[in-house]
Amino acid sequence: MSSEEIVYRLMQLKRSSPWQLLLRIQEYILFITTCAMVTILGLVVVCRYILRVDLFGFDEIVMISAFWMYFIGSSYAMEKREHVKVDLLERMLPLRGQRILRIFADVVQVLVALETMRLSIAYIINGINIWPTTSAWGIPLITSMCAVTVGFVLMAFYVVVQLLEDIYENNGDDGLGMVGGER
Amino acid sequence: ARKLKFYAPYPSDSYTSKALVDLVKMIKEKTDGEIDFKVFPSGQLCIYEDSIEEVRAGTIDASFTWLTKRYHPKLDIGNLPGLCTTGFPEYELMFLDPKSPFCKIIETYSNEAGFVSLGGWLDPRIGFILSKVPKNPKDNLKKNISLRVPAMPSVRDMATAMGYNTVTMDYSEVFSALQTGQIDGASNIPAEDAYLQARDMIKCFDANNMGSTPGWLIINKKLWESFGPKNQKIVQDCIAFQIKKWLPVARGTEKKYEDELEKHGVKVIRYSSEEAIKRSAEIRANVWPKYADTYGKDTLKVLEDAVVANQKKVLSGKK
Amino acid sequence: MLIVAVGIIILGLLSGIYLPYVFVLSALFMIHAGGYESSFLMKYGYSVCNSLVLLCVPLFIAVGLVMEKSGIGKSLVNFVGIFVGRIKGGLAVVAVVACAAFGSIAGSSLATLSCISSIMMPRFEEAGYPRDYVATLITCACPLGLLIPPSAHMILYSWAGRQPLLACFLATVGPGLLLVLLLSVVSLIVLRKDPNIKVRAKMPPREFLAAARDDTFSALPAILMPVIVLGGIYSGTFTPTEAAAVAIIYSIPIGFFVYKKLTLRKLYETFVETASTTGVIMVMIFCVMMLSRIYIMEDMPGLIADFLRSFSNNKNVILLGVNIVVLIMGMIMDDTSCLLLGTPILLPVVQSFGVDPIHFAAIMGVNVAIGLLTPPTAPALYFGIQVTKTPLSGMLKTDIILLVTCWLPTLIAVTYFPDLALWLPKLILG
Ligand code: NA
Ligand code: NA
Repeated sequence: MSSEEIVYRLMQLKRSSPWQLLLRIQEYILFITTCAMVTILGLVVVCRYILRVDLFGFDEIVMISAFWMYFIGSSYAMEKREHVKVDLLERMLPLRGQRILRIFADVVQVLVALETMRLSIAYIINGINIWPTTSAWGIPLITSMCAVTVGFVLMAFYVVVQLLEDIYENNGDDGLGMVGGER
Repeated sequence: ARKLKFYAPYPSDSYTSKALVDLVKMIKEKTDGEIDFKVFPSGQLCIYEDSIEEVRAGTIDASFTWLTKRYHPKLDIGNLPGLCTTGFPEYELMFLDPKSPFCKIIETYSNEAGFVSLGGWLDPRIGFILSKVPKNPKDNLKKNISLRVPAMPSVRDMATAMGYNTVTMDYSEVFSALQTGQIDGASNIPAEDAYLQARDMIKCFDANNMGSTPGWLIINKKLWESFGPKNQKIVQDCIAFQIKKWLPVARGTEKKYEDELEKHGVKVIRYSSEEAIKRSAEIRANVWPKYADTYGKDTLKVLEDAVVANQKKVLSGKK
Repeated sequence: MLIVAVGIIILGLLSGIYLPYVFVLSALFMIHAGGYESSFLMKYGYSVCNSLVLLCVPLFIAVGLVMEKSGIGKSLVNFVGIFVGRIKGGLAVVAVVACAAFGSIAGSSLATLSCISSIMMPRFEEAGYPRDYVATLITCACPLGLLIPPSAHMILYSWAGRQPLLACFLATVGPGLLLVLLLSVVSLIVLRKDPNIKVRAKMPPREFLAAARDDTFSALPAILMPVIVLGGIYSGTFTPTEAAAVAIIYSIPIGFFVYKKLTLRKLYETFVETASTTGVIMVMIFCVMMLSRIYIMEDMPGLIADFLRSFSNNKNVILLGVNIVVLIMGMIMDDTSCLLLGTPILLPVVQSFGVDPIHFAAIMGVNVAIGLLTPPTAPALYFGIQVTKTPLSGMLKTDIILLVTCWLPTLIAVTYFPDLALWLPKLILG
């Protein structure tokens, strides 16, 4: 395949309905978890000061929704290239140097992301085996632990796609791979 | 060889951590350096609850921790109220004697959960810190006082049975919430912490010892088996020796900080053995039956007998 | 090994790898070099993030965004603008003061940063302030939230150092106020001659009063919001976390019906943005904590303490040494672990030289707050990049200027003039 072809395929992939559907699903999860958090905490206040009832162990439910928010949020931000990075050196280099550095960083990133993904999968398998639960309600912690795994798997996926994009895309035209952190 | 990692929740200058440092030193000497632990104090390595799983997995080798039900549904049995309301004399009999029924129960559960129990360890006794002085602190009538409890069902039931309105919130929010008056008190706080962290916010320290929460020593199973019978015996003997050595310090510290609180103008509510035993019976009768399904009736019966026997010993010891 | 691990962090950062992966990379190196098992990494990250208190971060990000999108923030800043519109750099002073005030609600620097930046940045832009400078200023002012009580740092210090919490809270107020002063003065000097800053044209007094009245009136529902949050916390009605949720719930109908800026679509976008910003922060914390756990196991703090003891017996020299150690620790690890590591190890050392533990609370407080701003591990700085959408290259110069002209003098003052820390605890607690 020529690099034009690969770029075209990548664009097609990002416009394809499964890709977009995945993004929509992530957005819905983010919206619902944020709503849930605000609502539950609001309820706690209402119950404690108006109804004088203690919502025992409410934090255990809030934390489930929080973990999904954190990790789906993180993977969503990865798709949008919004994670924090230092662009100090990149800005000081000539264009060619920028490209080499970018691809070097991408490659290292992919390796680390894959290893992180492996660790997170081992983590969830261990979690299924020992089946920890919360102290108030005995809710299985797996409900929030798998958010970690899902998050790291999705992040690894997006990082791999980014590497391909940065390798094959023409430098500069649309800025991809140049100013990733600020888009 | 790499030093073995020993988890400790209290800061390095607390007597529980100092005693652990003494313990590992003694173990190293007695085993000619074969067993060499390093104590990581202040809960640096992780939160106490997760040290249990890390000991099981072997990423931490041993831990002084509080057992909760996170990794085994029954391991929080030590949180049942009223196990040692008279304080240290009962605490010694219930938790620090490796042959006690309670220690046998924990040994079984620990085994099921995949690690080895080494028995209880020195741990300050706990009371309630309160910014209001209750009119009727020693009985169980409604007090109209909101008390923060850790999110553990048996502790909540205990506080409710004692007449308090319970509030659950994160431990890190307790002291600021107390200061602003969002809560009127918090349960399960040692006198030392009450004095050092909250003396200016509270009016009353209720030294009821109703919550039990024993600090516990656990060790990785593979590691323990690798010690062999000889070194296992040495470890157990060292633990017994250090507990004996440090118990007076524990009692002294408790007394010292209760006195300091009083000097600071905080009302300290103390209980005679008779009062403590009476209230323990009331609270046990109220709370324990709710947990018959969790721990099994037989187990609760064994514990109940142990409590009654221990209390008898405490009373006769005084005479 | 530790040196190589730190080297990996610096190289990884410079080559532009996403921060969480830089930390994981360094952690993985130490795992393999040190012969550790890797299975605790995820468990530890999870358990650190499994904290209700950390929820303050997403909630106050949401408060900031909702305030911004609903028009509440704008009318609030309009109101503030009445008083400072005529002064060049006046808005910068407002931002600094706002950081101190808003931070005192949250007890966390990142929540302060997210809230203040989303309110102030559009306003700064409108008034023509140099973007790089003001973004950095807010970033450098946000740790004020940790110096003015309630403070998450002081709760940790008081726990790890076994010191009375109230006194620790009060100890950092003095240095906090000094810092407000220094940041304001420096900003006024820096911005004094900037030709791009628009200052409102002079108005006749009658017109000014009319405009002021209109702005005040339309800002009323907005002004109520900090009143609810601050009043709610200080009257003991809710915790900071709950206050944030209440603020969001309050601002939604206001945004819909009073300012009519909010739509369902906007609310949806706001919440999605909140969550994705939160995700970036939390996964970073997750990964930083995995790394700091290995530092602890390698006993880096112990090595530092031994080194320090062998140096000198003079109290002032020891304090200088301790400050340098904490500054370096603050560079390589995040504020929480720096505090939790440093306090139990360094407090006994300085106490044996006669330093008051409450005085040391203030020293640690200021020093760890500086750690939020010193690369390579600079949580506030990186969060500032994220929320103000300003590149690091634009921030670094001003960051260094403000560190040298404001933060370091504050650190020196609090170290060598114990009364700066101790006057308030003495005054109130006797
Ligand atoms: Na604060
Ligand atoms: Na730093």
